[in-house]
This record gives sequence, C-alpha cells and structure tokens, in this order.
Amino acid sequence: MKKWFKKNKWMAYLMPSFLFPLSITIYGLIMAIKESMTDNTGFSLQAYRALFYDHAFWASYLYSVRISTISTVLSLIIGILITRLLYQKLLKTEWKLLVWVPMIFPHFVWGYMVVLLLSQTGFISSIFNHFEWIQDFSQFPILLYEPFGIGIIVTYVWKEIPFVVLMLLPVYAQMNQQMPLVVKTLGGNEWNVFKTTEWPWVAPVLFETGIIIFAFILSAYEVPALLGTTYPKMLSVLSYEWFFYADFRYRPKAFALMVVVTMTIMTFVLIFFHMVNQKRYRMMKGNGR
Amino acid sequence: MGKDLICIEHLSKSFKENTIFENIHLKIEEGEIVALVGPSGVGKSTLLRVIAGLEDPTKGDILINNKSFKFIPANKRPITMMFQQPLLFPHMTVLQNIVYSLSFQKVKKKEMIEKGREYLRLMQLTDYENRYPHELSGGQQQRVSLARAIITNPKLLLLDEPFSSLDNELRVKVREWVRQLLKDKGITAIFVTHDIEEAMVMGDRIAIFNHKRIQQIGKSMQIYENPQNSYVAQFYCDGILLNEREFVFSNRLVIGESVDTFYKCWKANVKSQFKKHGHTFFKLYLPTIHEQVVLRLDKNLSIGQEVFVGIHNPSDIYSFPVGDTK
Amino acid sequence: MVKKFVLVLLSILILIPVLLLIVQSLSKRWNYGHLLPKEWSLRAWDVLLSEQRLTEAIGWSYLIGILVIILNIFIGVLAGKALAHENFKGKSMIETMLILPIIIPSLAVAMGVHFTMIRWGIADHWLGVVVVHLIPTVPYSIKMFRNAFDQIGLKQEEQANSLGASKLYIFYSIYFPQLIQTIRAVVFLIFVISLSQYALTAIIGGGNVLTLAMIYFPYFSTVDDAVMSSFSLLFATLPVILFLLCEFVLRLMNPYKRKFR
Repeated sequence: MKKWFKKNKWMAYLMPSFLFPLSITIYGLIMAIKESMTDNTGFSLQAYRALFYDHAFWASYLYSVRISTISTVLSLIIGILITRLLYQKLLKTEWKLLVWVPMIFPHFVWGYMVVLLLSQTGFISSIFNHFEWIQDFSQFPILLYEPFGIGIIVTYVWKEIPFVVLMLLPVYAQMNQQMPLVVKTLGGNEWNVFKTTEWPWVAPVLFETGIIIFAFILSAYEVPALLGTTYPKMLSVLSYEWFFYADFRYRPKAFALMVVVTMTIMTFVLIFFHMVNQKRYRMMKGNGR
Repeated sequence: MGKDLICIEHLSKSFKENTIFENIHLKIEEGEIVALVGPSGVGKSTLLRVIAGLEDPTKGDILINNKSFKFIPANKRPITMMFQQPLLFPHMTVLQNIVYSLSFQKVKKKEMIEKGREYLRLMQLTDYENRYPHELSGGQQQRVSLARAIITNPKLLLLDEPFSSLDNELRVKVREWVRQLLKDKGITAIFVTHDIEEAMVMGDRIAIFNHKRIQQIGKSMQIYENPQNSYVAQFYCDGILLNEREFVFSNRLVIGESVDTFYKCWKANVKSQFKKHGHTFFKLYLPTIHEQVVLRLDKNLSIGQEVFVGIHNPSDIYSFPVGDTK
Repeated sequence: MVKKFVLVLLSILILIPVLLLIVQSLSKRWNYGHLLPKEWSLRAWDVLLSEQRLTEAIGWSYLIGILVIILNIFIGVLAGKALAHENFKGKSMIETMLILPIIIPSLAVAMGVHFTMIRWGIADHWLGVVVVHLIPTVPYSIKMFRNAFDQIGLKQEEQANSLGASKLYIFYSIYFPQLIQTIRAVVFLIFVISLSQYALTAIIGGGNVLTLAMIYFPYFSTVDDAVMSSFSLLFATLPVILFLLCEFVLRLMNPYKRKFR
C-alpha cells in the first residue's frame, strides 16, 4: 500500500481537490438532470416540453446569450489591448494595484456603482445637467432596466476587463522581448508581430478566460437580479424564481432550464476547444517547463 | 578510525524498456576524487542521481563501509549532490544558504553563524554574507553552492558538471581551486564532466563512461597509454584507430614523402593547422581509414597538401587486451 | 505619451466609481444637477452600523470566508504542486476537468445538491455553505498555486533533499517563503468570491445562514442611496481588513523575512 502511494503520490495530492468541488459539481449536475426529468409520475420530459413552449424562456434565453456574448467579447478585446499596451508598466510598479481594485468589490456592488453612475438621475446625468447639456433628467438616455441590458453589460465589462488583464499579464511577463524585433527586421508589421510572437501563447489563455467569463455571466444570478428588467429576465433569475415558487411543479422546469444553460455553455466550450485544439495548442500548453 | 570505503556494486538503471546504465562497479577510498567522463547525454547525471538517492536503482547497491544505502532516502544519506546550476535558494541570503543543512541538525544559531562565516572566508566571500543570490556572479554562486554542500562533511560529494555554466577562463581558475579545497578537506568526490582535460585535472582516477557502462577506470596516464578498447582509445587517446582491435598512438606516427620507408602507411590530407605553446600542430585526415589525427610537426606543410603518414615497426601497433568488448 | 494617457484614463475609470461611493455615503442632501452634495453628514454610516444583524452577518461572513480560504489553500497547494511537478497519464484530462466547477453553473449545482444536503443535515447550516463556496473558488486557487510551483521549479527541492532536508522542512523553508505572494492573492480573491455569493448561500443556507450579501440584497430596494453606498463600501473594507490580518500572520510565520522581487 505504501509503495503504491509512493509511486502515485499525485493521487494523494489531488484527491482532496477531487473530493470536494469536482465531485460535488458533477454530482449536483447529475442530480439536476435527474430532477429535471422527474415529476409526480416518474420519468418524464414534460418539464422540457413546457420549457421550450414558454415564450418567457426563449426571450430570456436570447437576451442572456446576447448579453453574455457581447460582454465576453468586449472584455476580451479591450482587455488584451490594454495588456499589450501597458504590461511593462503594470508588471513593475504600483499600477498593478490599480488592476486589483475592481477585484475588491463583488459584482453586485459594481452593479450598484453602475446604477449610481448611469441611471437617469445618476451622477453622469447630473454632470450633463450641471453643464447644461441637458435640461432635465428625462432627457438622459435610459441605460438601465431596459431590454438591451446595457447596464448589465457595462457592469460585467467593467469588472471583467481587470480579470482578463490579470490572466494575461503572466503570459506577457514571460514573453521574449527580442522576438518583435526579429519579426520587424524581417519585414513584418505590428499585426505580424502579434500573430507570430504573441498569439500562440495568448490564444489558449484568452479562450480559457473567455469561456470562464461567458459561463459566469450566462449563469449568474446576483447582478441581473439587481439590475435586470422584469422582462425579459436573465436565465438564472428565471430559474431561481421557479425554484422557490410556491407551486412545486415548477421545480423540474427550473432544473430543466439550468440543464439547458449548462448544455449551451458546453457547446461553446466544445466549439472553442475544437478550434483551438490543434497541435499548436497542445504544444503551447505543454511547452515551457 | 579507519578510512571510509565507498562501494558501488552492480548498479543498474532502466526506464521502462530503456537501459540507461548497467553493472556499474566502483570502489572509492576516502579522500579520493574520481572523475567520471563521457559525452553529453549518456546518463552520467542519472548515475549520480541514483547514487544520491534522487532516483531508485533497478539493480545493485551503494555501500559505505559495508552498510547498504539502497533503501535509505536521499535526505538521510551522507551523500550530497551539487548540480549544474548553483541552485541557491533565492529567498535566503548567502549565509543562510550556506548554513542551510545545519539548520535541521539541532545546531545552535550562534554556532551556525560562526561555521557559516568560516566557510565564507574559505570561499573568499566574506563581504557577501548578507547579499542575495541574484546579486552574485555565476562563479560566486557556484562557490556558495559548494560551501553549502560541504559544510556537513558528507562522506561522498557528487558534482554534476558544476562548471559548465561558467566561461572558459573562469572555469580553469575555479576548478583548480575547487580541487585544492576538496583535497584540503579530504572530501571524497565523484566529479562528472564531458571535458577530458577537466577530468585529467580534477580526478585522481578517471572513469570513462559510455554505452551504458564504465569502459575503463584508472589513473590518467594509465588509461592514456593502455586503453582497454577502441571506444576508450578514440575518446581519450591521441592516435588513429585501425580497426576494432588495433590502434596507433600519435607519437608513433611519422610523416614521409614516399611509401618505401614505412612498414605501413596511409594517404593523408592536411586539413588545418594551429599553434600552441610555441609549436605548430597539423590536423590531418586519412581518407582510406576515415580517421583524423593531430600531429605536432616542425615542418612547413600547406593546407590541402597530400602526405604519407605511417609507422616504421610492427611494434608501433597497439592491440587492445583480449576479452573486452563494447 | 499614449501609455501615460491610457493609464490615467484607466485610473479615472476605476477610481471614480469608488470615489462616488465614498462621497455618496457621506452626503446628506445631494441634489440633481449639482457636482457635489449640498450637505455632508455621517448619517448613512450611523444607520448602517446600527443595523442589528450587521455584526452577526459580518461574523458569519468572516467565519465562512476564512474556512473557505484555509480549505482552498490546502487543496490548492497540494493539487497545484502535483500538477506542476508530476507527470502522469490522463494529466491533461484532469487539468481540463478541474475547471468544470467554474464553468458549470453553480446555481444548477446548488439546486441539484440541495436535497442531498438536507438529508445529510448540512443544509440550512453554515457548514453546507462552506462546502458549496468551495465550488466557485477552488479552481482559481489550484490555478494560481500551480503557476507558482511552475515558477519555482523542482530543482530547489532536489537540492534541499540532497542536503538532507525532510519533506516537511522543505515545504516550510523552501516553498512557503516563495509562495507568500500567491497566498496573499489567493486570500484576497477567494474571500471576495465567497462574500459575493448570494444565490448559493440563499439556496443552501436557507434563511438560516446570514452573510453580508443576504442583508445587502433586500436593502437594494430602499431608495436611500447614501446608506447603500456606505454598505457597498463596507463590502470592500472586509477583504482589506482580512488582508492586513493575513499579512501580519504571514510575517510571523515566514522563516526568511525579506521581500524579494
């Protein structure tokens, strides 16, 4: 027994991490799937049928996916632009603290800050009024609690860009400073530099971070609960309501919705994994040590 | 108290299907330095790691004064290994690095500091006591690493190409100094290198390692004049290999214009020349036997010139002892 | 040049909301159209601090948070080292699987696990909340420690081993001092994540477990901006205090005290 342990030390090291979050996650997911397919009479897909016929569901679905995609893409693009531009400063000096400041506040607190800033009676509107760019607060555009979800997007983008930057900084820290010069002296421009010297290392991290952000936003409850409209609701808000509804028959529907969300995320993961999972990705991932 | 004797017996190591080395035998007396030399990548480092206990042997044993250490973990063996990089702990000062192995031996703090300072003096690094590793040059770091390794007086010190990260000039200076230090302290050591000259300088005895075995072990001159097999001859000696069994030392070779004066001779092309210690050396290529040889000649040859190289007597041919194969 | 400009712009974008909160929390009357409040006061903070359940909530938030952090460090260090320093079959599959907890919606997991937790008696109980808070946190700590161990490498351990150090001593004298940076970041990040959990805590904790988030949400529907602002700021001060405490403890425990770059 001792010899097996010695040979497979890694198992002993990894078991706690397996035991807890991973097994709970998988177990929870399996239970959720099971519950979504059970009702009073036993196995039944009635919950899914009810779900797919529900207009509220589809409206929420499109709304949520749209918000998640836009937020993710914006965060990634702006995040990488900022990292590219500023990584030397950010790595060395106190500027790094700046990136950590948004991390202090939970997402929903940022949501509140966005409310303070962007609501019709908010700070920015107030400034506009002060400088007499608008006469009255009703002239300030409605950015919150509206069907496009601008308030939600702004909240998430604001908080996730620092996250993207923090994820990318180690990649840029390790980057060979000479490579851009090599590309340039061979005749390449900025885009070539990026594509050849940065993209191979940045891509895996970018995709992973993107998946994390997308999954998080799609399935988050807190921010949309505080900042969202009454219609359409974001998916987790809908599911949460159904879960706690007085009528227990809504429960399977709540589970079904979460299962659909999970499947959506998994689909995106598979798509990206396939796109990125060329030899290059594996080489980059295994490379460097 | 008698002298220590270290015996390495039947030592073998394989990884899955791959044999790295097998049947390694080595007897080392206290205070002796054995230089293990061979080309890069053949497993010398692995051999050291097995002896140090960082890897398990597939077969064989390591005995110190007849006590077996095969099953004893690395940190409990009186064997210390030094790696190619100095590997100083970056978060500790130079002094803290040096006394590291004392810190888990229940030595009083005051004693530790004193002993550490003693070794700092020995290494001529007294001013660096409170500096951090990144503030030191490569050579200085290696010296600190050495101090750290010998402060506990290990019964066996293993050095894995410790000078390979230094530039040539520094290398020469440092290695003589290291050898003197080891001798002064009477430390038994196995010193690994791929550089023949370094092996000759550092080692009391030289072990030539390749093709999974120790090909030959002995004093420098011994090997030079009596190579056991064609591999050793090619690797270590100066001369030309006629075939698997026969070898001619360079100092038996002469240059001539015509074929007649020789017992045996070969065509040779002059490839290049260089000067060293006031003499001229020529590199010659013998196409018929695919051999290259460097000869010290006081003639004036030109590059590309064709000459004859050969021997006068049949006794100039050296035959490898029977019974030793690759 | 451009860089300086962008940096300043970013600083403004990040600090303005925070400043806004501070100012808002100290305002008594702030009319629309004015740049600054007409009247200042500490009223909002008074109201906040007199909320009876506040101390209780802060206490629970810290208890749960600290436990979650300790477990995270334990799991993160072990798993991170294994992933950085060992090679075994199926490693890449395991690496991918370890991200699953933050990709699969935690709401789904919480809902799915709820009944089982009731049966095990840890629903409506802070232990259940601690367990469930591990889900959105552990993947991050594993990632961060893994990177740290990658940077340190395996060779220092081998050298220390050859010099005679035991495994425990190696961890204490070699790894721990070099992990302090990471531990700081982990403590900070994990605590904030734990603080931010509303849905998870609501489902598993039932009404019984009172964390700061549980009080915050109902407050949102009040119109009192000043109190909301002070409450929001409170959320930031908790991690900062914990961070300082952590610094203190780490300094005490670190055998090699100098901060190196």
